[in-house]
Amino acid sequence: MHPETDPDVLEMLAFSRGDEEAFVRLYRTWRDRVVNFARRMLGDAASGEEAAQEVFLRLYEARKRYEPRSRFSTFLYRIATNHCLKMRERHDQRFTDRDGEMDLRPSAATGAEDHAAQGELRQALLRALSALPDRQGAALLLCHYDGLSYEETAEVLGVSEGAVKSLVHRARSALMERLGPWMDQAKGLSHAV
Amino acid sequence: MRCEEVQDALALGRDPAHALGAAGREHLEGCGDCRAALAAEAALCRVLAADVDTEPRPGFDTRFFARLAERKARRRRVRWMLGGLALPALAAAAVALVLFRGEDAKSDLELAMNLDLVEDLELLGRLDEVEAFVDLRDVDEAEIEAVRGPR
Repeated sequence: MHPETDPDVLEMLAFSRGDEEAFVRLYRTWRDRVVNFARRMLGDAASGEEAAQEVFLRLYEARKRYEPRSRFSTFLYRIATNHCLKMRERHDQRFTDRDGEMDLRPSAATGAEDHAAQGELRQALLRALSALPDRQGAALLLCHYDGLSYEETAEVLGVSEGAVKSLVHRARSALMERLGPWMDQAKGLSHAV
Repeated sequence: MRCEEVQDALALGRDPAHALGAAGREHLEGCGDCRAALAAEAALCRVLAADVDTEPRPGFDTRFFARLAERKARRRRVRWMLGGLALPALAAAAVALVLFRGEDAKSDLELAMNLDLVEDLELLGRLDEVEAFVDLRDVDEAEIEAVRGPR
């Protein structure tokens, strides 16, 4: 999609010309996607929400100098990725378990279909995602959860398409390793079905 | 078809039966290793699906728009105080301007990477007012009297 035909680019241009309602519409359209991206990058809801708010404040600040060259999603995810990576760097002590020593095993008494086990799995997954190396994590989230193409993800991260494929590949392998016990349960589930 | 091709497709989260067509399906039927890899990828997809998108917690919008209002008010205060800015602060902002402009300020993606500097640039946009303030402050009162002439 060419920037001029992207409806969100047009909204951002309207905002840059002083239409504050256009900003509110962009906020409503993108709020949940930015919140979820930041939550997964940072590993918890509170940090994710704090980061997402800052992303939209930065978007507001960007209005006077906005000149579209790419899709709005690429522009916004670049702000979000950049900010989340800065937050991860700033709060690095919080992610000391990035070395893979964290305990992500499911508790013995729970089954994969159990609601509590789902919550436990979700927590383990969030921790594993936020523990991925910066660009691996961002690439996987953008491609898998946010549905960006490799080309768009490459543009967001400022790397080549080939590098994105490699990052996603490594991220998936790291997750398989770290979430091994959960993977076994998930495989068992597929065999049972 | 080789195992590497099938497993490359798998590692990117693609189903080789779809990504590679009939050749991929045929390979999977005859290759235990690739079937195991496919099972592992399918399991990973199920694990990843455990984290569904959620809405932010209640009060998120209120907090955001309050922060935005506070940010706008702070910018107005900064503009008022601009005349009192010390020269070192201006010098720092000028350095920021040079660095930022040096990276093609017109690209939206560069802008996305440099939003920390935007506030400094906003201040620089009002440099004329700062300079006028500084000039007036430094004018010798005797000089003013001389220009004004005898009362």
